[in-house]
Amino acid sequence: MRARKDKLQGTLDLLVLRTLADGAMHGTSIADRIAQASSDVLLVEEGSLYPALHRMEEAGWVKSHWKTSENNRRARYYQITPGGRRRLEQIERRWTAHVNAVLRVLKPA
Amino acid sequence: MSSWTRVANLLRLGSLERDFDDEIGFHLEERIRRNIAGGMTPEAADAEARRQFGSVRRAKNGMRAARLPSTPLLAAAILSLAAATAYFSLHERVYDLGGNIAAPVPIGRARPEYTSAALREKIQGSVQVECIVRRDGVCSDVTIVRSLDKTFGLDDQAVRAVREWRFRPGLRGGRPVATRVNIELRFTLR
Repeated sequence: MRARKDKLQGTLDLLVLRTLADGAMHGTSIADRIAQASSDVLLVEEGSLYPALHRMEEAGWVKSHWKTSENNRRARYYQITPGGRRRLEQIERRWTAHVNAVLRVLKPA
Repeated sequence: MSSWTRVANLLRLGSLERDFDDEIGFHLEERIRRNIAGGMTPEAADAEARRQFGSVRRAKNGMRAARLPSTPLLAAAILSLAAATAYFSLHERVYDLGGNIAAPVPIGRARPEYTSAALREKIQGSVQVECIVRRDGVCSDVTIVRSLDKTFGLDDQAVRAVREWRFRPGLRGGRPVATRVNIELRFTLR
């Protein structure tokens, strides 16, 4: 159960950090980007995105600031930190290895 | 960021909660706006935004959990704060007399009383004690420097008397400070 929760949390971290690697944005845009990039396969329950963002900020992987949005509302923007980029590389490597291993089982050479 | 930043977050709990509300509020409005731009009616856009978001209460609980210390850390923080407070109130700096320290002045002296056993033994003389006159003018940490009588109770009587003495505290630069003083208590038979 614990391992499963960690894996899910790791996925969300990966998706969020990868999205933020392209530039700062607020939560709504992060959710949209993830949905678009995955052709709506990965739909984040948007309410769970925010605890993850706050957790990642406490971990030092992202930092946030309040800014006026495109349509003149006060919004919290997140951006990735150098520590976040290192973390992204690390999770990305782990995921690629994991996915490749699964693929090798599905399609033996 | 260390877990101690989470303890610091406790001190701005109010603004933290407002930020959570503002952030979720912005999200829902922005999602409704985007849903409408995608062709939904305002009612449908609103319902869809809330469905996509899920439970607001759960989200806020999660944000709090991310920002605030876990129960063990909180307990540790409170304990160390209490320990530090106790340490500094018990260990206020104590000055020795001399130099730029004005000595405390006794304003209420209790006479040491004889015990019946010491009276019977006709013991006379003096006990010298050392104590700390705290800033509130009360003696604490009374110890015997020169003993007169351990057997019939006069040493104890001297300590008991000094604990009742009251002082105008010692001064350093005009401010009351704790000072270490020596007091001699005489036992004389009449």
